[in-house]
Amino acid sequence: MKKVLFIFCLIGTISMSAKVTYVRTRGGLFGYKYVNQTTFNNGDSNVNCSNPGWTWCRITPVNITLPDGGTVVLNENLQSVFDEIITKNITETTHSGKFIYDNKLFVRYSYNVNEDSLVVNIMTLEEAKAEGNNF
Amino acid sequence: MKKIFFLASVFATIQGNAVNTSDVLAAPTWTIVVKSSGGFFGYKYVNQDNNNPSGNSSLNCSEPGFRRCKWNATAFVAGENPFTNDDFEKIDELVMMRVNETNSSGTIVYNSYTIKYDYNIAINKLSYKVFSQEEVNRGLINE
Repeated sequence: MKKVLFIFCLIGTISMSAKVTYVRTRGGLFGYKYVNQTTFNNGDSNVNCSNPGWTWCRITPVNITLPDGGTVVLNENLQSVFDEIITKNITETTHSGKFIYDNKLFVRYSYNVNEDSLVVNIMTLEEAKAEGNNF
Repeated sequence: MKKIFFLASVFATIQGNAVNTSDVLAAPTWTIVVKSSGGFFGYKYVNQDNNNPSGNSSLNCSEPGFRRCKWNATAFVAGENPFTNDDFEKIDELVMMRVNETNSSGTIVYNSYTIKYDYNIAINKLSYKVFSQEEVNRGLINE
């Protein structure tokens, strides 16, 4: 019985972990050629967009489960909100940063101008703390 | 007196020829905008040239950076400056709206000027040229 409970707890923990990372590399003026989203067994998702094309780098909705049992749906609209904040924050002298959204999600971003590569990590506040982020 | 007439006519002929030769040799005077391999936040190089002897202005933007690809002073079309920077922004917007997967090149008309655009997706390069009506009439748009 203890083993069953342990397995249930383990599954519960894994399903709460839903970090999302999206990477945009060398897109074109009108979008990307490759837009691939991978969802792993633990709930994490990676979205990779690259090369010039005609497809926008949009995420297929991902449910991010919060420690209190609530859920945040990371969809196109929320991605647009994040993109807007990131676009305002990244400048010639500031290529990376982080912010907290709605006191629920931690967003970290980094832009490599030589590679024209923007990496965005999204996770719960608890996951961010576990990674050693202070806020 | 005949000599004077002769010299005058020779001078006139030379002048006339000079004008005609100039017309024939004159470079096309379209205004060119080229955006090539920019980045997520803009361009590294933004170069505007208003000093072409033909009256041509050009704007070249390339490589990933943080600068906007925009005119920093009035550009010239066929030696004239018919557009404000706002006009060029509108033209840019129209071109960007027009280009899509099945229509990566073509022409649009803005205030009697014709804009010929082309997007090469392989190298992420958008270029367009602005032609005056007179240039269109001369067939320069087909070159």
